[in-house]
Amino acid sequence: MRVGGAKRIRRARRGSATVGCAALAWTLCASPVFANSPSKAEQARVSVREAVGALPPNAALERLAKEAYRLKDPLLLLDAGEEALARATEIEDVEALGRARAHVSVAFDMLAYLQDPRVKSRWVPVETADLPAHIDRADTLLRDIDARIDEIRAARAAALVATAEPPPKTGRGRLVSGAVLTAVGISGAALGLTGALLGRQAQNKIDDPSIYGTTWDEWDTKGRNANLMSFVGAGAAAVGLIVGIPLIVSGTKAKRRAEERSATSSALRILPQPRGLLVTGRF
Amino acid sequence: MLAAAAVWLLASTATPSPLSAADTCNPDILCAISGTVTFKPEATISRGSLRKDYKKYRRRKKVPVTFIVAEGRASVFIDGVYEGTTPTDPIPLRPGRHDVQLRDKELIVSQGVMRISTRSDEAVMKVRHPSARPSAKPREDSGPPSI
Repeated sequence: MRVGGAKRIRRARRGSATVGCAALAWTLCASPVFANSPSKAEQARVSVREAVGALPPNAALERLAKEAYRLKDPLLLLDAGEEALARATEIEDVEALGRARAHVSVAFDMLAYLQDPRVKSRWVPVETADLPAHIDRADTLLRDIDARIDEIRAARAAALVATAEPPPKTGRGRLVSGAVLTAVGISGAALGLTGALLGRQAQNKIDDPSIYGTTWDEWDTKGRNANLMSFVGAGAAAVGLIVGIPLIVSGTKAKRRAEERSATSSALRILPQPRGLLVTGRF
Repeated sequence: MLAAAAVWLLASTATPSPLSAADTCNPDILCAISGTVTFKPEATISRGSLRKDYKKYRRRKKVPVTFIVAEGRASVFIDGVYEGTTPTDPIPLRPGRHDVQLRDKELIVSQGVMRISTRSDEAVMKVRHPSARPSAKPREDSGPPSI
């Protein structure tokens, strides 16, 4: 059948209008923003969760976060944050916890913004009445993530401190105790010498035949005391000098080594701090 | 005498060296550190005006705009929709006015109306996070958010 020119133009117009309508419908359906009315967003969430459920854990988490950002859906982001928190807790990964924190923070931003009158009517992924409950969930999640990050950091700091090099010995304690013992030893030697001299003097008096009676008894007592003094002094001298002098020698060596080490050492010292670690050393 | 007069004339007519956009920015207010973009803090724009600008500039080339928050983070909401989190990838926006809000959870980092010039090829917008501003009060970080 032959078609006239005017009819052909009308058909062409109708055809282009049909194509235009189809294109518009496709745009509206494909646009994630337009899909985000609460009921449609819930449908999208269900399909995303189903799709993600079949994947291995890491891929599932990645896909979940990707879909959440594509759909601009705060609830999927909270799911991604929760999942990341669970995974990161298992493997004690602070970086993964940081990613979980980022997801939850963005979800919190979205949920807080959705209460604002500026929000577009076509981007309403959550019922307004449910927003406070979701914000509470985001807040709790953020606290859990922060607490977990602090726990892991504290545990790592403790482990680092346990394996860190102990502080170098300066020999100061040995030097001081050695000096005290040597002083005790020298005093003991002096006491013993004095005792010996006094004992010698008393012995001479006792041996003197012109001394007898009560005088002899006095010199005898003096002699005994002098002997006792001599024994005590000798003992103190022996202990003090035998222990004190090696302590001084060893302390002096340790001090010299510590001085040499502090001049050349680049060893790091890692100390735990309330929010992390303090690293000291020469660089 | 003539030379001195010429020197005076030159000195008096010389224009001051042009300041770059970054030099004139107040770091506490969202500001373009590059590109021809103006921002009116706390201003609002009606949906009708947004629609009008959309119609007016819909055939114009989109301008990629990047948002940065110094010493902090924020999510960027443009014309009522989430567009990214700072530092954002360049967000393609049509010239004209746009409603902008930068938000860090319940804290509004910056909000107002941004006007993108048709002469702009690209733009970078920057603002300092309120917690890093000199007059910032210590942030309360306890208890559930008040809604």
